Amino acid sequence: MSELALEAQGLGKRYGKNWALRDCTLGVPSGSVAALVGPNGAGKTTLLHLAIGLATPSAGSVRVLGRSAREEPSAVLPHIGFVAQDHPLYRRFRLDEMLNAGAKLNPSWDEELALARLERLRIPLRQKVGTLSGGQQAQVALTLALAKRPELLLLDEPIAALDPLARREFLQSLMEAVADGGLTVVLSSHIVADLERVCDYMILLAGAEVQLAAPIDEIVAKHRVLSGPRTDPSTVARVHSVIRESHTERQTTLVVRANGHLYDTRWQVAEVDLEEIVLAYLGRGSEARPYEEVAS
Amino acid sequence: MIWLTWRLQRLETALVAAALLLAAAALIPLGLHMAAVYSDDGIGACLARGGAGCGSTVDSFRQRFEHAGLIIPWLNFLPGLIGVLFAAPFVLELEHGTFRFAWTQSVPRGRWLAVRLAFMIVAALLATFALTELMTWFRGPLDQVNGRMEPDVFDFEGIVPYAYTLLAVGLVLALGVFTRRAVTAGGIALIAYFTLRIGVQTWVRKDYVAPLRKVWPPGTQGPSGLDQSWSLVSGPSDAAGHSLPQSVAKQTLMACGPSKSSSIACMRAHHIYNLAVYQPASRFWLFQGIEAAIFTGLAAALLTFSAWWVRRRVS
Repeated sequence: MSELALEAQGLGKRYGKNWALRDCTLGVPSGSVAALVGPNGAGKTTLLHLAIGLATPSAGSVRVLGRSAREEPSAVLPHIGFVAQDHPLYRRFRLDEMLNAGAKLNPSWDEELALARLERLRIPLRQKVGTLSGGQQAQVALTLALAKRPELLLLDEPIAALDPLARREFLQSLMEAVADGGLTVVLSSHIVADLERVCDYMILLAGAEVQLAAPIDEIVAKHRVLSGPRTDPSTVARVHSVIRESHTERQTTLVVRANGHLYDTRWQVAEVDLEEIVLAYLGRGSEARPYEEVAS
Repeated sequence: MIWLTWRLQRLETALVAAALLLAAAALIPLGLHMAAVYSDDGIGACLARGGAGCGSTVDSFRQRFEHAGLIIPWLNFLPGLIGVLFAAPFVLELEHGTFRFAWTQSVPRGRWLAVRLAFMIVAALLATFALTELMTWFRGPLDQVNGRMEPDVFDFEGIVPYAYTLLAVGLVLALGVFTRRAVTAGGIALIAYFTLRIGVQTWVRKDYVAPLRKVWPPGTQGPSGLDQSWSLVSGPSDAAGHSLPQSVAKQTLMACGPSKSSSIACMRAHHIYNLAVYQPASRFWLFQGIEAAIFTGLAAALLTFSAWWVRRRVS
């Protein structure tokens, strides 16, 4: 097995004149649970579609489990579970027919795993897929992906449409699957809350570019919020990276990514949680420079 | 893959079967009756050998079952419907986004596409085969009398129905991969289907090969096989074969007086001839081949475009 479950080199995708994703270089280590975060239209879906081979890159390359899904679909697809946005399923099918579809399309199909999961979720097999609730459909889609016994699981906005309870249940069952071992997960979301408990790696996309790609504890450890009397932040910026600055009449607040030790008596230094870090990056707007050091 | 493909178009297959059964239920009783009258009245023998009173026997048969020919144009929508229904599940897959499920299982996209297209086309052709067999049997006695060149018959027999069905499949797919809306694609495809069918039938088909043109004096035997041909022009003309309006012939006859024997003499005296411009029955297979080639060619282009689009442009 490759060291990196998902690896992109200068990856880009253009639709007409617009780049949906540009110059994306990153690597998700095997065994991690990675959150792919960013606002709507940031390129999350594009990145996942490129990874699974639904879309072809306009530039660069992307490999999953060491291979290109586009070029070697027969070798790659059986080892990857993918759930597209809005978890598409055949709505006219009964659930057992949906499982049969999974079984017929996948040589490595684990029927027992699928049945056990659905029984645990109390979703009746005779029911029409179209009549299941949104949360149940998301769970069915996850079950179908897991029953492939994948090494890599790619989930596009799996929790976006779910209510908070269904969201928690979904993430819970995802964690159980990860705990069974041998699985790398990349899941995209525009909601950061809840992800910190589940994920240990984060890719932040904004404006079609990668802003951050690193283990979450490393991200949290390196970012600080500084507050002090109103001042020009250029002295701080000389050493550290200022992600966002905000000023009131008397006070300046900076979110910085510390480059080494942060010690300055003029500033009050405080820890900052993941959600605020994400918001700081997203608040930088489109002139933002990708944040390369952490990514490498 | 095959089970899945079948499951995805089960409903549509049932709808097509129901439509065919409905058509069969409407046509079989009338067809049996027509066949019985045909053999009881000895129409076949009449056509083969002729004989006393045969002309009127055949004419009365023709008139008696004229209405049978009238219901047939309404069945022209069936090849289109067959094509639309069998292609629709494919478009639904794009509309509902389930292709993203299908293409991310272990079966590569190219194989998925090949199986789906093959299944759809074979099923549509089988349904068309059933329809064509039914129509050919039903029309059997009438075809003996009237031939198979007239559009109402030509469109349902031989090989062109298969080409029509393929065209409908191609239209739905090409519009479907583009719009990703099954109802929109099906609706526009049916409109385009009828536009093409009617356009070719009205303006193009009659000139596949230059039609025959015969001029003969009233009271003499016209060209043989005219009854079984596709008549394009039939009426009075001058000696050179230039068509004359019916009104001219009528006025001439009125001026001459009523009796029948004198009317022939009257027309001759005024140099009025009979004109027929027609496509003879012997060109049936030639025309079938040309028309089938046109529609199959169009369908192949549309299918190729759809397959290319799905392989390259859909994600």
